[in-house]
Amino acid sequence: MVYGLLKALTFKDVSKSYGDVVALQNVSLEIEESELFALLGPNGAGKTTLLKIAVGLIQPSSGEVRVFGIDTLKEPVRVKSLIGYVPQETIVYDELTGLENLMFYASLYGIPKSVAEERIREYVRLLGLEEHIKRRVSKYSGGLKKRLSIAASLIHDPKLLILDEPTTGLDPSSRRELWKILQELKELGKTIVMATHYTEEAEALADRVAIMNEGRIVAVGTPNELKKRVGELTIIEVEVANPKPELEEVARPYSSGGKVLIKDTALRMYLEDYVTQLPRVIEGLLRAGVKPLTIKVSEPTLEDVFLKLTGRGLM
Amino acid sequence: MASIKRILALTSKDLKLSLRDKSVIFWAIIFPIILVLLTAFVWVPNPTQITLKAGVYSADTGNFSKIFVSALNSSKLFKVKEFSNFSEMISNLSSGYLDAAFYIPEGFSRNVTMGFPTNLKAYIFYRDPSTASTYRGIVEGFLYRFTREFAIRRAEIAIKYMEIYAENITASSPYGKYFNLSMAKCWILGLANPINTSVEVVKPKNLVSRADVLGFMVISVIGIETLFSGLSVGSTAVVEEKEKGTLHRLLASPITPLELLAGKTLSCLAIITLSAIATVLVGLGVGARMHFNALDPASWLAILHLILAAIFFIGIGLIISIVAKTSRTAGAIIMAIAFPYMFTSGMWWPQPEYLPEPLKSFALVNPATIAVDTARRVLGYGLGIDAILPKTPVVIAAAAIIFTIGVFVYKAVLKKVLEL
Repeated sequence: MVYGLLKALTFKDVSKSYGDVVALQNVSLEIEESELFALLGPNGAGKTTLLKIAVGLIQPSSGEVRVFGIDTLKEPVRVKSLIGYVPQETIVYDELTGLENLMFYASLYGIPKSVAEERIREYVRLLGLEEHIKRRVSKYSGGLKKRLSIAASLIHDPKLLILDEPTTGLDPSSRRELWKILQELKELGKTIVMATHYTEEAEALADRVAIMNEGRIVAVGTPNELKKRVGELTIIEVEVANPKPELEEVARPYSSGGKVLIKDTALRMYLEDYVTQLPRVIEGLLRAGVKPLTIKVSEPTLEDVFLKLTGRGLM
Repeated sequence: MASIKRILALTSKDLKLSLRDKSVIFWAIIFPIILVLLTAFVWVPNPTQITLKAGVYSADTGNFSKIFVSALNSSKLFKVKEFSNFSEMISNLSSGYLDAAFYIPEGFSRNVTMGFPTNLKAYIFYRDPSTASTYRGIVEGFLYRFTREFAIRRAEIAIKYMEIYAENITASSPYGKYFNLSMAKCWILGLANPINTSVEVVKPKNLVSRADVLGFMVISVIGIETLFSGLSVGSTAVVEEKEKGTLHRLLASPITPLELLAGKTLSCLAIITLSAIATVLVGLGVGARMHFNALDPASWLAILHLILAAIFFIGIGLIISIVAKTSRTAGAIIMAIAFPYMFTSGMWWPQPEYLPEPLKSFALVNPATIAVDTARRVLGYGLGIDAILPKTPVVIAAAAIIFTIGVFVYKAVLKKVLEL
């Protein structure tokens, strides 16, 4: 099998329902080999369900999934040996040492001890776990556990690494470290598919991004391609001193399509002709008793894209 | 082959996790050892001679009252304290300082010497129905033996006098030719001791000592371990991995759900084996006798029955997993089921001897009880293949049916958890 000629992961009209609840609806997607691909969407968008179907943990109600051309339903064991899966939870046993965890996962794939030891040395160095590998996992920080989980998912040298919300719950420093590790793995030729609801993560890491909402893929492309979908609108971000509950209602009439994003004390709006529009916005805010502190013109982000495509924010 | 390697990898992992978990160590090793020690030192203690604290008040000053006190002391059944005041003795008895008391009335020795009937009164302390009955038996037994001994002595004295005057009686009496001295002696002894009674304790051929009873109970403890470990592993087969966060990752590897269950079942059997070894060693240490014989198929069948009991309980545990959404809930359900089951199913005490009627009927058809009971009768009492082989098909069938139902439940629970 020459994997290079095939797509790393293909979803064709994949749907999944739980009774009356539709989790996925006709999802079709192709992910290239050696690509770092992000599934971006809010909680409940269907990202985890899609990844579980790819890994073979659950079966789709309809549709077809192929990993390097192999049908996941017909040859699940073969497919599983090609995939390294890191679910949202840490997948390592607290009562075992890091080394025991990795040896256990190696034994599940029937990897000879000498090969497993060689790979463990390699990934432990790559993931910066040298000093911790002989300690019990119960003594690890959250970031270390996540790195060990990735090592455990790489132990059988999979071509495709699937990560579900890999940085959720990590502090900013651990998150940056993990980004670096994922980039290094990509450079080693791994195909990486990850689900995330962090736009900055998708923008910083992904070659391509699929935006998901309510069980559907609403857009696919590189971050730049997607950002172009925001159009000729100018994005302004207003930091306010006193965010009021009615802030969104106050700002909505001035923003294109009535779409407004509020995060903490920041108000994000989309203006068609900002030279004439901006003074009116300020005047409107002041009239409503909202005090602007700073105003800046901002570059579009994937969150802006998500808002434009779905009419709501990611969080 | 690859499948077996994966199962063994899971077994080894679960065994490591278990041996590093203090609660598992308690339930698998410490708890059975406690049961064996309680059995040896509390429930089946070494038989000991009972000695009652007895008070004696004698209103008589003659020699025979002293002989009676001396007999009390030399019997070793009583530790005697003599009182000079009757009321003080009864007060000590009613306060529980004495277990029994004897009142020797005035004229006791004179009446005995003259050969007249005489009185002697005994009192016992009613601590509870059981001990009161024991005390009464001891006191009445002693008084019976003492009275009989006295009667025989009197008869012997009478015979002595008869021997001295026998010649004169036969010569002077008109019926002398009918008198027979030997017959007269027997007749007088018969008056003193009309019936020679004896009581012999008969034990079953294979239950001859405390060591055998302890051996029997050691196997009961191993049976209890199959109950607790089996229910625990079965009911947490899915939720434990789910709570650790490892379930998805495990099933994203080439491991199949059935291999996962096989690994857990094997690790459960391994833990029970370790537990059984510890239990047997402690049992032997406190004097249990085990009737294991490597050349006897009955011994191996007994071990098979214990394994099947474990599989039966794993199956029940898997069925329980429908309602046990967390390992904590599973633990609570296990406790609620296992402890009453332990005492009412006949797995702890042998069912025919100790259980009340409805429970006895349940125990006689309960496959787990049958499995454990036949195993302990072979390994504890030393019974042969006839005691176990006829029950083996029932035990195999029950374990297979319950485990199969459990597997279906396990698959359904697993599917539900994966889709969450």
